Amino acid sequence: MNPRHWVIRHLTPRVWRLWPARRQAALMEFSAIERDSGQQLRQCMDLTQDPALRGYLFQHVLEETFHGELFEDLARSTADKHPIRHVLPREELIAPDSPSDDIRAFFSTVHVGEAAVNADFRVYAQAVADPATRGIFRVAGEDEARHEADTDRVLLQLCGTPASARSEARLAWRRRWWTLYVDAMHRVGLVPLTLLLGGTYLLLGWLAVPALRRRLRLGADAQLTLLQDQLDDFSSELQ
Amino acid sequence: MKVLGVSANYHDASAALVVDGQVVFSAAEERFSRVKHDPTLPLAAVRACLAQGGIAADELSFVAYHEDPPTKLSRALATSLARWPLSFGTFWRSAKEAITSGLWVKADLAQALGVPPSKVVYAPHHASHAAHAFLTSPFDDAAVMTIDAVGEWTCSAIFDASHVDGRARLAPVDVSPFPHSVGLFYSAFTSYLGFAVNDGECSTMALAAFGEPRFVGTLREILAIDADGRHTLADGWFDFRGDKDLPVTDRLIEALGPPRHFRAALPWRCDGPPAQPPSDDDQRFADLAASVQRVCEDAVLAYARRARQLTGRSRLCYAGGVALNCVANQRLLDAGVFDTVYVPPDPGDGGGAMGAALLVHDRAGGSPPPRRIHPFLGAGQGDADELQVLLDHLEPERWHRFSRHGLARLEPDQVTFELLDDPAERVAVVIAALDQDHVVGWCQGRFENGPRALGARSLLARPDRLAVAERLSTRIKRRAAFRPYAPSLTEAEARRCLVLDGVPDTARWMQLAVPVTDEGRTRLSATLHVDGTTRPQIVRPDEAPLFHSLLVAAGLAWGTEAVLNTSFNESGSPMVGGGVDALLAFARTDLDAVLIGPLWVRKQR
Repeated sequence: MNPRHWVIRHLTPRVWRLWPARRQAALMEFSAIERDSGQQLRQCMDLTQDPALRGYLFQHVLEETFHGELFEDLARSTADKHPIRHVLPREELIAPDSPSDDIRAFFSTVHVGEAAVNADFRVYAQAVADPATRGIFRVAGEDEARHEADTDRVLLQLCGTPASARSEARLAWRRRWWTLYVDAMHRVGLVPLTLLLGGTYLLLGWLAVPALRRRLRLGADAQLTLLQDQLDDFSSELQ
Repeated sequence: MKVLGVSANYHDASAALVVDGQVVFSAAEERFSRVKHDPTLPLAAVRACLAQGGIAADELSFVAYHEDPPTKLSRALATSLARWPLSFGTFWRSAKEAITSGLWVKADLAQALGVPPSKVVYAPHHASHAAHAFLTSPFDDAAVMTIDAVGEWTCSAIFDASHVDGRARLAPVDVSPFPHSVGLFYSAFTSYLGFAVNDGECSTMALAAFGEPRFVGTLREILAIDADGRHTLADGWFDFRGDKDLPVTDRLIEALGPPRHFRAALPWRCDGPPAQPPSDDDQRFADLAASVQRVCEDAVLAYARRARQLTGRSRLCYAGGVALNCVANQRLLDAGVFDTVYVPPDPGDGGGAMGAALLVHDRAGGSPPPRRIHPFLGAGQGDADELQVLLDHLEPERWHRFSRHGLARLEPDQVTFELLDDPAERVAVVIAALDQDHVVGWCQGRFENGPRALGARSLLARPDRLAVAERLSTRIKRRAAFRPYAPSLTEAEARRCLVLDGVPDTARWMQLAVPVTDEGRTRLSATLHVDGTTRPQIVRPDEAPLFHSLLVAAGLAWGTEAVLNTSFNESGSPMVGGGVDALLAFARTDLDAVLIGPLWVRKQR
């Protein structure tokens, strides 16, 4: 079994039961992923003149945006505080230089994304106990399955031959795995960062806290002088 | 000289381009990314800036960033370390944010644009606001007041501004240092009242009209205003370290009661009696909103008096997030502290990009800046022919499945479109639709700068039809019934419907809450707040000719040269950018028709 799916099936329901805030954050993250996917598809509409493809993309944007809203509404319906909307890093999937190549790369990325999400949602739909949550995963999963087939078809049209389409898809999987690897390394990197910041905190606190506390208590006149100096430095930098 | 202005990393990231003193383009990233209040580096807006200006990034003389990140970091670290050794969580978050993004703004911008880092300069945050307010105003000299949450170490500032030898002289004469912030005070109570910070402040302002300011005494202890007009936030009521869901302390909750849950419904309506009798808690929240609003207005007014006293100027330019509070702006104008008050179309952080660019342009010795701007500085609505071809390939029969707005199933032949080349014809079809109580999306030309729809990306309805306004709230915008809509009207209609002495600039862009005459109460009934005020846009024919002609046609059709005008968006989404975004909103909501450039699209029901 896919280890990710094992985690979703066996650990996620327990974590969500014990920490409702984690469930809420996860739902908001799904919402952001779906909305972001919709936005990427929306940008892709600007890369093609093919009206049928633009029509397909339009419908796909509607569906992804709707999924984003379903997840957000679900998070809101059970939250104690305003759910925080995630802002995902802007992946520059679409570079303005070579639209024809980029639309193939883009579609292959969308296609593998749909495949991965479809598989994840199926597992979530089986794993979570709450009927409302399960229902949304099921609905979204069914749509994603259709999207996977649709994007496969569009990719074949764009690439011309099945071999070329498979090659694009392979590249897209590699890009996805690389992104996941970088993301994992980023998380691993937080451990030494935390240790480093812990040491800095203790040292800074010991050395600098009295000065910083004085800085916080500076009166309006001193702050005004600082703003004037800041503005003067800024003006000199421009000369 | 070509200067790109950028604001980012807090909320409402934006980009603006100033070429030889003219503001060529200005837009928020959210219009492109479709993430409301998007804080990320505005690369899409930057690309649109360069495209509009027809220049490459290497032609830029400077890239101006709206604040000084290292100085801002020093404040964040000082705040988090103030409670050492019990504040590691806050310190960790501040330091991580700085290490992963805040400290590398110069490098990130230089890399993204392909310019040398030496071209990227940091403008002080409040100086950016001040430059934005003064350098876009029609005044030769003015006091400039900036009030927001916090920028670097400053929360409010007063500048003495004048033009000397073709260049601006912008000298700071007073600041209110962190944490003594009117903006943080207002935002903290916005959060306490169950609304989202940096988004729900307009809800706090709207709710205030339903309450009595009975908590003013306690709130004046929290935000004290001295005889010199300075404001001070007392210790022990708020906690702005950022590691709590609600930035208030137990002491505040003991004094004012428990905060409102964000999902708890509020019963009030602008257009009539409450949906059900308000509970004691509902009334407490409305009274608190009224008190917060009153104290905020008092602080703004006192600081304006201080500005007048320190500068001796008779005109005021005003910017910063608090300048979006149109009720406070109205009180400021009514108080007569200054002969006139100018607020730019986007006075909040989004406008910081334009302010930073104008400041750099001025300080680097560029040509004199513009003396007046118009708000239509964004991207256009896109090519109508491409949209028309797209319409042949939509599948309206599937739209209802992916709408949260109770959209009925449409058959393919129920969505019709036509191309209207004659602007008079466009105006005629829209007026006819509005007269049939339809809600029409209006997407014309370059979009507006700032958070308010000013007749480029607007949802329109008849201004005297309460039922249409209710449908707009429930089936299109999903918006609380206690929040009022705004009218756009001609100057002639404004004289008839509004209690207004002349037409100040602040009334041109929905920045005042103006009392309405008896006649106006009937004519503008769907745009009134419960306190009998409305937030008008008085449209000038030279600024928005097509929109103005629509208002004149409205006068011929139903006797009032006015329309209800609200932003073209759905709840939680930014205003639409281009024509495709407008079509997506049309497909997802109960909107009856949309005019995108010359393309007229309708649902035939």
